[in-house]
Amino acid sequence: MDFQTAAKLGASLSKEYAEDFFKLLVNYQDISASEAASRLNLHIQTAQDFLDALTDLEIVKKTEVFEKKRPYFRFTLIKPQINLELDLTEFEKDNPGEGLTRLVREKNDNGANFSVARSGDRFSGVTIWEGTGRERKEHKISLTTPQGKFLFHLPFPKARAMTIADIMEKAGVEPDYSSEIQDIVDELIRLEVIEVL
Amino acid sequence: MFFTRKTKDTSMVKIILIPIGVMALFFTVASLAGFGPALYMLGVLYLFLSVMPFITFWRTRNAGFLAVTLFLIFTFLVCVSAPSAIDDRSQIGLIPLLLVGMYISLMATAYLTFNRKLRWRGQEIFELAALPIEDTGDSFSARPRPTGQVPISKTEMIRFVDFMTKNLLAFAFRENNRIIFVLALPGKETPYLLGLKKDYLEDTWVSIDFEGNISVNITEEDYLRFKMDLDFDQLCQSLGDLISEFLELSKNGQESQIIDKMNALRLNPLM
Repeated sequence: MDFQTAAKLGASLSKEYAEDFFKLLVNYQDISASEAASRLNLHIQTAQDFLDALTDLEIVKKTEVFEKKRPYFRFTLIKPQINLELDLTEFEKDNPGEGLTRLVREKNDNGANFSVARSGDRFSGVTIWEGTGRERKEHKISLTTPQGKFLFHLPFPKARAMTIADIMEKAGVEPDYSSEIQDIVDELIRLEVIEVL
Repeated sequence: MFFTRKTKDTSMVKIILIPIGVMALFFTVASLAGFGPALYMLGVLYLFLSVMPFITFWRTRNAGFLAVTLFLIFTFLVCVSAPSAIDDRSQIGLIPLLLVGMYISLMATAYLTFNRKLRWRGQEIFELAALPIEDTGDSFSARPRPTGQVPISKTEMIRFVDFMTKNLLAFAFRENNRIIFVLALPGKETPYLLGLKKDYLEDTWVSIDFEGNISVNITEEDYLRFKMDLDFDQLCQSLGDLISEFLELSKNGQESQIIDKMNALRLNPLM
């Protein structure tokens, strides 16, 4: 199951009326949105949206029927067992060491504010202001310990740039953390706090 | 020692204004109410002024400020004793003794001042840190920078803290795992002496943790004390290296060389 489908399924399952709805679907041969709504004391649109979502997820089948030439839909459960299985390793970077040779340093006039951790040897967070005027928003990123150590050793603007690997070594950050280091570097490049040479 | 100054001078006006103001006040009161009340007013003013050098002595253990305090107190005593003696010579009492005390403490104060024993040394540290830097460019960053490591024991650290504080180089603050030295830059000392400043991390500091790691933080306000936009990365590194060098000298019992280095800059002893 892909992440988007799982997210939709999760959203449907999390509805407070979902359990009662499924009890109806399991025990009825088919049911219309208005019948389900009246049975569960819901608004008809709520029941309709829930059934449409289950149709998209191919858990129920939607059949158009006619009553005195007026068409409406009836829903039948087609998947009595739901398995939610997600493979999170697909998010893992193919080669975490790939970008470690990039030469980086802090960008000049970036407007970021770094907060020093109590220990004094790393940053605990970085605050960036995004947008201008009334749209200006504060974006605070809390850093993990390796990220905080890495940024503490990031070269200053206009200083000699260093590779990410060298900064990690200088900061005493183990290579195992290269994925999360690159994640924060990429984010700060996007936010124009770090520049790549 | 010949070198090009890289920090801006503090205005002399502030230094001249205080004695001019005191004299103006004295003569104004003297012309309105006579010399007696004017001397009393001057005495009270000196007593009031003696509080600050005493607090400085208390905080830094720099004995020079005790001499300043004594001078101001002797002057206060002379001022409050003199009016009755002017009216009646028989009431001269201890005035000659007080005058001797005043002159001796004045001489001591003058000697200490011109030998830079009463000078806040932050500016000299900045000047020494900037000495090897030639590169310029807009490169300021409002974050600390690690500059290196120097092995240090607890005893050596205590000795170094005492030296830095007593010789007016920096104010030291102890944290869980490090010591923060806030540089004693001109105009920044009063809130620290009065214990009013709590957010010392917002000032220019050098920290040394108990593993010997040195970090430097220079604020934008203090960076603007330099005449030109010195390369900020080099400046922070140089300041860290300088403190590391001071630490090594202190470990070897050669603190006098640190003072000699700063005196060799020959900055104005009054500012």
